[in-house]
Amino acid sequence: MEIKKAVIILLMFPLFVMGQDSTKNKYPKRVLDNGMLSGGLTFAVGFGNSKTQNIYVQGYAEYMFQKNISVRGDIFVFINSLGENARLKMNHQLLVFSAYHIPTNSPIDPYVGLGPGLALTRLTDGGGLDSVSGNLEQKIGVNPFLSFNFGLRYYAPKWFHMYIEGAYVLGRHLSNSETFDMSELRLSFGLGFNIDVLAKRKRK
Amino acid sequence: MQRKLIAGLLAFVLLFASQTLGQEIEKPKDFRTTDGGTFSLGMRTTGSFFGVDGNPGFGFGGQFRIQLLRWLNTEWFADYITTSIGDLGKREDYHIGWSVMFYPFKFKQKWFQPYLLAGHCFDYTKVTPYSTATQDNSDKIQDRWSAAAQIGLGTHFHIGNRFDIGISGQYMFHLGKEIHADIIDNSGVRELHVETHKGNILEGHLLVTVNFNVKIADLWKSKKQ
Repeated sequence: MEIKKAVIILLMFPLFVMGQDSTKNKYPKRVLDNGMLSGGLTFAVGFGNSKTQNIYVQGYAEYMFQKNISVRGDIFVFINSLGENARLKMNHQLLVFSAYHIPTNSPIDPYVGLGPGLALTRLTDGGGLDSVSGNLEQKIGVNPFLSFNFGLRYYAPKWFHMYIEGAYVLGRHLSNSETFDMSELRLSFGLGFNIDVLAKRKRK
Repeated sequence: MQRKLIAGLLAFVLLFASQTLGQEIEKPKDFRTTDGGTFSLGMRTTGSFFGVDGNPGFGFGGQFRIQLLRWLNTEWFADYITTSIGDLGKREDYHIGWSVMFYPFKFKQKWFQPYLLAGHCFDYTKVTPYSTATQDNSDKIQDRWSAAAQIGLGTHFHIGNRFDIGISGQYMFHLGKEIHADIIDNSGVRELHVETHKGNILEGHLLVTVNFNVKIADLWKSKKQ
């Protein structure tokens, strides 16, 4: 019950924030500019090729160093894998990508991005024989992947934005026993924070 | 020791951040037509093709660049590439090296900048045959160190003054011990045999890299912009 309340509050919070902004009618047409530092924390769900769902906690930090171009780092902490064919026991990921923010004359910010990442992966079953222990062992693999990102943000001026985004992650788990396709379509949404770190200098 | 390392890294990041922020506001610079001195930092993904195992590999890496002259740039890179060998094993390649990039053409437009590249690389390669439920193959892992030279061509696509994406293709020759991975059919069962041969050989692969770079700083304030 408490979890439900927390989820409802989390979902409603961006609406309160944006509601306050719109009543003041101070919306700038385009809040995105160089110097914008943003970040967020949310949950993400990945839909794998074998009808599995992987659940993550996702955190990101992004810096816009030039108009319409940003560099962003994401961390995905793997929570669980669901589905009949779920086999991943671990899939923590680190991703760095650059994004192009498509110019619009509104607070809506669509963007696309591309970048490489590294995953720490491990399977729940299978594995290779460890002759010392006599058990089947699933070792952790360090595996590169490529991520195609896309998303949509809605900026409440100065401090907040809400977003919905997706990514197609292309990669394979390789470790000590077998190859496993860890490619997936990943979706997430939530509330992010942003600050213009160059605001003072711009005013001068 | 770890604290010193972290403190050093933080100082490095802060130094470049302050350089970047300062330049962004006080002196907007067009890094595309610099005479040299540009420091840039980026990430890359690399595909490895036509290697000795015949399987395509896939990698994660990063690079920084220091441009020396208008027509001469240097790239310092590190890559980690993994390759599945017929689902029976894996190959891991760690590359660390540098390339010199020559810009032979000077176009009027600024967004497209092709280059030739050549350089050196040091590599560590490890081939792991997968263990099965009945056989532990961890004692059959083979590895080697090697030196390499690479040559190729590529291009930057400049998007704005401070950012570029690029693609390059290069052929890399490795000089080192031969690690041979063969898939053989043993009475209907596919097996991976990994052997290391004495003596050095030359083996090569084609690397196709897609990267993005951010121009961070003008290290020695070039005259031309």
